[in-house]
Amino acid sequence: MVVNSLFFLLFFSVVFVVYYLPICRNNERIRNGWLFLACYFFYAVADWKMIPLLLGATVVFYALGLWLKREMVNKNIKKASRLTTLGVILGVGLLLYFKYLNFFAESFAVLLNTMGLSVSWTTLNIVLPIGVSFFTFKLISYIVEIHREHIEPCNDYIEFGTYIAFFPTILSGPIDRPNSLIPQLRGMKTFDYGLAVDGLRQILWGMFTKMCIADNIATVTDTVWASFSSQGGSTLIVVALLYFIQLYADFDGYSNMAIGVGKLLGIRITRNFNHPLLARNVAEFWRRWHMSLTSWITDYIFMPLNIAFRNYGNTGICIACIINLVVIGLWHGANWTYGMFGLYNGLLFIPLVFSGAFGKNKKLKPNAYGLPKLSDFLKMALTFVLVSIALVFFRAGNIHGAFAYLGGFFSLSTLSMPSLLIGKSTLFFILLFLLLEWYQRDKEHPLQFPIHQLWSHVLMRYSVYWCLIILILKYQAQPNTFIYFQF
Amino acid sequence: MRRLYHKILIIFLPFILFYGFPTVCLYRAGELFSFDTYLHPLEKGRLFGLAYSYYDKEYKYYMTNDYMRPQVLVLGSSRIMQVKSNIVRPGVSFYNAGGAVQNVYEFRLFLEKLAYKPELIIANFDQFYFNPYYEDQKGLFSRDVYEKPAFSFTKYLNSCATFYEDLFADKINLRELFRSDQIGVTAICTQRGFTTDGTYYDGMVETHPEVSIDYNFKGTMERIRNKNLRFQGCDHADKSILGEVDSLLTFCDQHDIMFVGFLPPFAPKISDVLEKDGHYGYLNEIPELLNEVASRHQAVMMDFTRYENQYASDCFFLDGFHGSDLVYYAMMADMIDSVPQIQKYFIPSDSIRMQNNRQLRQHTKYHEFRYAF
Repeated sequence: MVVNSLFFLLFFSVVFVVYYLPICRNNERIRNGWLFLACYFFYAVADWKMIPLLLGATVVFYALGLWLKREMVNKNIKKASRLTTLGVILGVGLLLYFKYLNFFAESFAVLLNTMGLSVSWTTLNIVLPIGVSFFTFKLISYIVEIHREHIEPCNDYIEFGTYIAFFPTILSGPIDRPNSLIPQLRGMKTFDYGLAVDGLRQILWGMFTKMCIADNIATVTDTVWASFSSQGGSTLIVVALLYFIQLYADFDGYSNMAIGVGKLLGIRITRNFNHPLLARNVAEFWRRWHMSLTSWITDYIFMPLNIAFRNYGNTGICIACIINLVVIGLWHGANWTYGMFGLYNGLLFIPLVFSGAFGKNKKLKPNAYGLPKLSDFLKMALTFVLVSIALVFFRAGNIHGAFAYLGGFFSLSTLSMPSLLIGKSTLFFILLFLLLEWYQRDKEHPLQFPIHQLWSHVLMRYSVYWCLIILILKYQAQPNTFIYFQF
Repeated sequence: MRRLYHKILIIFLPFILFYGFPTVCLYRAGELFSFDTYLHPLEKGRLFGLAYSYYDKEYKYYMTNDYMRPQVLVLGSSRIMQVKSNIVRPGVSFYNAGGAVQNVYEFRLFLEKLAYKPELIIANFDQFYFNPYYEDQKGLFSRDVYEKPAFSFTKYLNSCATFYEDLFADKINLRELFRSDQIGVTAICTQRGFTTDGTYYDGMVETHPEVSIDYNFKGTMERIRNKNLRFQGCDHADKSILGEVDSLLTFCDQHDIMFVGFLPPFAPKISDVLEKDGHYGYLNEIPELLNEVASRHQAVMMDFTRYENQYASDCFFLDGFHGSDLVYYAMMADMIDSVPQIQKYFIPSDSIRMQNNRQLRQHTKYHEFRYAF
């Protein structure tokens, strides 16, 4: 069930109306029960065969959480640590089995074969459960956070089940932490008009970026990628740059819709993007891009690694960064292209670590004309290009294809004009998107209007809504599934 | 909460009004039904002609497979849609699936997907199929071609917007829309659409040829001048397509299907222009190439590319490359004479010619049409 579909609109309308009925508003158990049912219905529509897996994993981790707490209360530290390790192993094992078993086994067999040892591996027919990368991370962080005493375990299975299967985020994130989401499921719920309106605006903006920008760019990039070997170098370069915008508009569009839906239910979901196109180096890019994933990996992988390598100085930080980024890359899928995507990004951290720019987070300041300073702009452009190159690995079907695509940059045809059938309307949308990215950089989304007399007039705001709705209706491309659904 | 509902209502009210009107009209015209609703044999005199959806291929496939299951299957592009059921003998089932195929590859896809197999296939190979520059040959080829189309919200929105354009361009008669029992805006407003036996009735073009965009073959001439839209210039036929023709005929042999293929006619005036133009050398190569492939199978190929007689003069063509029913009656009569194996399915060729003469005398439309030239 795609978030920007009629079916979802119908589904959510029912969920919303019942959710705010007095009986649900005032009774946490009934409300969460309703949300729990809605979440499982939503997941069943996407992949009903995997319901037992989701349900089973939730039961196991729920019980593990309670057990862990009991051992901690009893000051049985060793057992608590063992239980936490068990939780992490179970979570990672779930992910490894469903997502990576065939991949690693095949890669291992290939490696042994190249060493002269004859090994064969019959690919197992394992169906990848939808959203497995997202809900296993939630399960793991739940156990780790209990062990770190950042949260209390849920005493209510329904509440915990709702957190794990929360329908706006289960398919493509953001990956909410238990300490931010679970408390929001508790207590009485009053309808927050301001939050709901902001959620609706965010959904509208998300639909615009997904349907008018990402899907329209996809028609161009998909065509070129399908026959890139016969395309000119300049075309390949432009498509690589466009793919960055497509991916961002696609994933940010989904995240905005998910966060907006959450806001309508009075639940604040973790932010996933903070204007990554304004990043001035790759480290800053990763602080702004897919933030719920990067902060998860930073907390649970990078920080422990960084501590482990602390005696090695900058080299240790570099190694931790590279491992971190490779894990982020491979999280996306069982393909060496993702590993390469991570490795390339990790290598880009080395000069940043040694130059000291790694941890710096200077606020962006505009020049006298309200535009970015030239030095900042050049850094942003360079980061944009470097990330676009990384995304060639991300988009390619295999490593060979990625290098062949990159090789295409260095041909005589790079000097010719790119041959792209990109509509003027799409170019206009991209420009609008980039401008708003800059001018609304302090806001969560561009439709959070600035405090100005101009925007205080209702007609002004409604005109923006109407314009966007008309643009969506008129210029939406053939619907494509969200890119991150596959992960 | 109520404030939020009001706000949502105010924002969406203009859109509800904007889309509401065409939704009612299109629904009344039968344009917004699910695909399955269209799948039933049409009553006599009823036409099926949607304006805002293109389901021709799927419609023909599912009608053939689920309802008609004919012994004699007419298969091909729009250039075979005028072969009518009244030329088969009583008791022989017939269906014209013209429009189901748009390139050579789709013949086999269509037949492979059929749950039953016909006894005889009459098929047209449009000359463009052998032109490597033909836009529909490989570019649009898809294996999902005969899947049931699902409702598309995007298409619905576009249909509503196009409906206004058509309404303001005076293409839609609202009164007719609410009175007629034909299916689809094209059927209602221009009396064009598929009939019971799968043939296409070109209502207004036949009764009022001046409304045709190809009146006096202007459109086709322009295509030839511009060398586009199926009339791309080409000196030699694309021989790589013959492999697929061979596979198709092998499939027919394996399933004991008699296959009669033909190259459909151009209007004589267009044939002259193509010949004089000098850029269409490939047209002359196709018959020999096809015959060579057919000789290896139980198939017959006939060439009607240049077809001119009393029933097939310019005035009996709907446009530069679509003959009227008279042209196809005459052609079928010639085919029946030439291929004795198919005679058991059809009425005698003389009867078809007599029928054609009668129609020629009775039907004033062709005499009116003739004044166009």
